This record gives sequence, structure tokens and C-alpha cells, in this order.
Amino acid sequence: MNTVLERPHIAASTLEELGRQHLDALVTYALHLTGTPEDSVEYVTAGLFHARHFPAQALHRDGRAILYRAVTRAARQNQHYPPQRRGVARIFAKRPALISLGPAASDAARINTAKRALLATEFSRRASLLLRDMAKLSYREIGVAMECSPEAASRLVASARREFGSIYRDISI
Amino acid sequence: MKCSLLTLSCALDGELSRERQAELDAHLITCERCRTGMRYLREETERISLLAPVHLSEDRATALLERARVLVPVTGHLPTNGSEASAEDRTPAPRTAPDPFDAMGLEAAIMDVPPHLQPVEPPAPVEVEELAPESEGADPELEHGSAFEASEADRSVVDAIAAVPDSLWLTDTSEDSDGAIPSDETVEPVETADEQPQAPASEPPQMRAAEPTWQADLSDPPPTSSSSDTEDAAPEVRPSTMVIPGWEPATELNMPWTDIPPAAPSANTWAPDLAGVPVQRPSSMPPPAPFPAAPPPTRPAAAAVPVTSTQLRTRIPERQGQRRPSQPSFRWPSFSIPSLSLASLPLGDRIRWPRIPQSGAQGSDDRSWTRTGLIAVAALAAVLIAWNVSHASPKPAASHHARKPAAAAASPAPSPSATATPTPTPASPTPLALTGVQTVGGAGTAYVVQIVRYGVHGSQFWVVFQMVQGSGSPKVTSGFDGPLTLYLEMPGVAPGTPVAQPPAGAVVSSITVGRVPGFSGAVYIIHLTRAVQISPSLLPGTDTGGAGERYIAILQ
Repeated sequence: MNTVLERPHIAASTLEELGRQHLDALVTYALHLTGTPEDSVEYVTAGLFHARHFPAQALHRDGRAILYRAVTRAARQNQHYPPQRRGVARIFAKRPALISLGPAASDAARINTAKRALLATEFSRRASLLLRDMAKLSYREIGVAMECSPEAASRLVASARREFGSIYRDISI
Repeated sequence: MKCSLLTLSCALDGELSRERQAELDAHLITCERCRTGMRYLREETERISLLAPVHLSEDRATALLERARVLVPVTGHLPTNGSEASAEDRTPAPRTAPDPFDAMGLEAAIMDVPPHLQPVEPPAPVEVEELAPESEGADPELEHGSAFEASEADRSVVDAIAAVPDSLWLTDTSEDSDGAIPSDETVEPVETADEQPQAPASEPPQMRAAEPTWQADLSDPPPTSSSSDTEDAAPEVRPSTMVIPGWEPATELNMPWTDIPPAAPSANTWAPDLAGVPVQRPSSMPPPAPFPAAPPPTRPAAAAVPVTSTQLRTRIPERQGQRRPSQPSFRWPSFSIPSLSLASLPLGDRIRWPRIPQSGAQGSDDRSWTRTGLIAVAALAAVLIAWNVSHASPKPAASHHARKPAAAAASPAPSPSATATPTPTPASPTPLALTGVQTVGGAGTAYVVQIVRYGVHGSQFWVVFQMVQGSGSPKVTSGFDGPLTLYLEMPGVAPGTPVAQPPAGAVVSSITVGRVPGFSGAVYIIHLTRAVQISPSLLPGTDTGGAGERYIAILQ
């Protein structure tokens, strides 16, 4: 017996556990998705902040994929956290201290041929490639993260591999 | 079997069905091109998986979660017996926490969730037996891509589910409950084109009716359809067949891997186009109810504002419906007194007042640019004012003549021709204005300079003033006015005979004598050829042994 319409209360402890469990993977994913540690930590923070609005059922069922989805959305829409002001006002705005990711992030952010080829691919393809080959998400979870169907996710991953391979072979010669 | 990169990619990920995997294995034995492609795909997968991971320390992870407001502050008692905390204890402070995006007037709903989503009292729960395993395969919320749509449509879900016949609910027994990818028998990501489409017999008729709605309700617009997508949607081809462009076997079987033209990426591609491609449901589970389109966030305050004719003129018709209405966070002050309204001033109708930005999609951009422009103008004005202030009062040129008193500065400066005259009228510096002032002697009076003699003693050049007819020790003050002018003031001494000119090549080029206003007694001005130091001394007597005093200026 399951309650169908249980209102999606946010189980904050669930989100906290999910966040702690997948935080390293999320930061790694965001770092290779954006290329900079500063942006990655802000996108992960924004994604976790917005992931609070997801229903608890969805978090229990697809918690990892939903976290990736939130971070992907934040990175795609350039949603920093704390939010940045627009225009000239952002120059004068006082921003809190950035959370440092430590020396491991600088090592991970170092540009090599694979990273350069990865950053040259289109955003959705880059995200799907990282979700599949780095985060080891299934096609269904990639579909949740990329907000598409599993079939579309499979095509996205295949085209991403093709584009990445083409760029990598071009720049590695 | 066709050569398909999609098939290879799915096989590499282990997402192919058993039959399809067997077909591919058989195909790889004979197809060198696909073997090469599979090898390339493995290499690219390894390159991605070898990217360096990042590990966050515990304190950094805690700081990040706290900043994201995920951590729940502990309120109330904690369970001491290890049991789970009650639902009231864990209820969600994050939902009621202030949203910085909303506070700054930015679009907060990147998850399509209204920024002020307040907890609503749930309606009466509807209990359905064994619903959870069946609902995981076709999650309408996830397929919609919008948590907001799902949360707002919960009431519609109840109605739709209640309308489904009971015979459809209890027929599914093959659904896995771990949320994995649908079974191979029902969903195959890759199919060959030579196979005929087969619709599952247990597929309910409502499923196909709901699929167009599922496609149309995607939150983001799909990319433009390519030619391959059009081919996929053709009725003679199985709808689930997906062939990557450039992999048509009839034309490119002999092409090497590197000759495959890349697919033209569409702008802002977020997902492949699936328009017209029906989705095969994994089982005979109840179909998702057609969700009504999520209503846009209602804003009572904005809806209450009547649209003026000026706003209607400024709207761009083709941009309507493409922008998400933003939440207004800043309102311009409205003048309640009619007499203060700009429009009420009797200035005629030809004056175009600047339009006050309104709240909404257009107003947010205008407001941003207005703020930016004002800040830029203010900064430019501040820079100009600072520049004018710093350059308005030029400093006077520094000169040693400024040290002279005003009365003395009015007199003309000594010219080179004046140095030849016996009584020039040089500039009159006060003794205090001189540098390196040295005084010898005391209160001697009535002296007269009898003769001025010169002498060279090694590296020293002596100038001897022999004074007679006086009494006491005459007071002589020496000081420099510049590096090449030496003043000798003798208050109780009168100048005598004209001074003999010094020898050529000496450190003293000429000596002039006279009375200078501001000085008392005789003033000798010694012009030097180079900067020297003076060591004055006063000796009693004269060279002939008579009474008198000798003032000796030793220059070196």
C-alpha cells in the first residue's frame, strides 16, 4: 500500500545525505563541465540549492540523477550561487568568500588534450559524455539529468563520443 | 545488420538487449569498420574516465552544503535511542528559507519551481495497491522535465489515475523495482531498419493518445529537426530506429572512420528531436495521464495592473511567449498625488517622457540597462569632478627667490653687467634667507675696510679683509644665496677703497661691495665659479703690525 499523493515534502536530511554522498562526483562533473573550479563550486551550490524544490519521492527514487540534473541546469543557465548581480553593479557588489576546492581541484582543472577536446564539444554533448563515462549513469539516469528520454540520451551519448573523438584526433596530431 | 555508431555506443555501455548484442557480435566478426569504431569508442571512454577526480574535505563539503542551505539546523530534541527523527523534526526549513535569487530580482526558478512555493495542505490521500513499482517505469514528472509541473498537477494525476480501469493496474508483474533501465524486451534504444515495427500487444490504447502530449509538454523547445529525424519519423521505418547521420550503409559502408562527416550541431541543442517518435512503454503498466499544461506562475499584483496603451505599443509580438515571466522584485514608486504626475503637467503632448520600466520580461531588461547607464554616468561624472579638482589649482613654481621678502623681490635681480659696477643693486636677501650662515666677531664699530687681498694656500683660496680705524671685534656674517653667491655682511664696517679683482682662474670670479637694503653695514657679494665651503676666521692686527682686524674667508 503506497500513498499516491503524498505531498512532496522536502526531506532535508535525505538531500543532505545525497549531497554528502555525491558531492565529490558532482564537483568533479561540474569542474570538467565548466573548466574552472570557481564556477564549478558555484554551480554545484546552486544545483543543491535548487534541488531542495524537488519532491522527496523523486529524491528517493532518482536522487543522484536529480542532483546531476540540477547542477547541469545551473551550469547551462549560468546560475551562480550566491547569485550575481547584473550589469555594472556586479563590479561593486561584495561577494562572499569562495569555497576553495583545494589543490586537487587545481590538478583536475589542468588542461590537457582530452580536457581541451572535451571543452570544445557542445554543452549538452559534453554533459552527457561526462555523465556516462565519468559518473557512470545509465541511459535512464542520463535522461533524467538531461531532461530527455533514455532513447534521446543514448543518441546524445553516441553523438558526443563521435564529436569528442573527432576533435581529440584533430588536436592531438 | 546495419553499421551504426549508436549501436556500437549502446553496446559499449551495455545497454543493448541480448539478441541485439548477439547480432552485433556476429557483425563485428565480419565488419572491420565497426571493429575500428568500437576500438575508438573504447579509447574515448577511457580518456573521459581518466579525468582527474576532485575530493572535498569534510569541512569544505559542510561549508558548501551550508551555503546551499541544505543542512538543516538542529531544533528540538534529538533521538537518543537511534531511531529516526520524527517527520516534524525534519521538516523542512530549507523550503521556507529566503531565496537570494528572489531577493536580488533574478530569475530563481531554474528548476521551473515557483520561487515562493509554500507548503500546501495535501488533499485526502488516495491509496492504490502496488502502485510504486509500476509508476517508476513511466514517471510523468521526470519525463516532463519539470518538478513544478508535476507538483502542480498532482491533483490532476489523482483524477487521471482514478479514471483508469482497474484491469490495467494489476496486469504488470515484470517490472523491476530498483529503477533500472527498462527491460530489453520492451525498450530497445537501437533497432535496425530492416526490422518491422512491432507494437506490444499489451500496450493500452491510451498510451498512444498520451504520447503527443508528452512530446509537446517538454519544458524546453527541441532543436530543429534534421533530415535523419525526418527519416526516423517516416511511417515505413520503425519509429525507434535511430541511425546517426553519416552512417547510411548504402552510401558509406566503404568510408573510413575519419571520413564520416560530423553531424551539424543545431543551435542550443539540449536533446535530440523526438518529434513524431512514439515511445515504447516498458510494460503494460497504466499509461501516463495526459498532463495539462502547467499554468504560468500567477502574479496577482501584476495581473491587477491594467495594461496601458503605451505598454501595448512597446510590446514585441514575435517575442511574446518565448520569455519566461520574471518575478518582479523592484517597483518604481508611484505618485499618489495627481498634481505631481508628469503627465498632468500642462506641457503639451509632444513631450515624450522617459518610460518608467515596468515589471515583467521586457521591464527587467530595461531596468537592468537603466541601472547600468545611471551607474556609468555617475562614475564618469565622479571621475571628471575629481580630475577638475586635482587640476584646478596649479602649484606655484618653486624658486629660491620666493624665500626673499616681498620688498626685496620687487627690486630687479642682479644682472651680469651689474657685477662689473662697483656699487650694484643686487637682490637683497635677508640674512635669515641665506644658507650656511656663520658669524664671527662681536660688537666692533667704526671699522673701514682698508684692503682686500687674495691668497692661494694649497687647495684653499683665501680672501682677506683688512679693517682698520675701529675698536672691538667687528661682526661678520657669511652666508650663501645659492651655490655660487656668497654674502658677507659687516654691520659695523664701512666699505673702503674699491676691491681689487681676483686673479684669473681662481674660485672667486668677482667681488662687489655696497649697501643692500635689509642689511646693515658693508655687504660684500662674492661670486664663485664653483660651489665651495667657507671657513671664516677673525685675526687681530694688520699685516704691517698696526691696529686693526683681519677677516679671513677660507674657501675650499
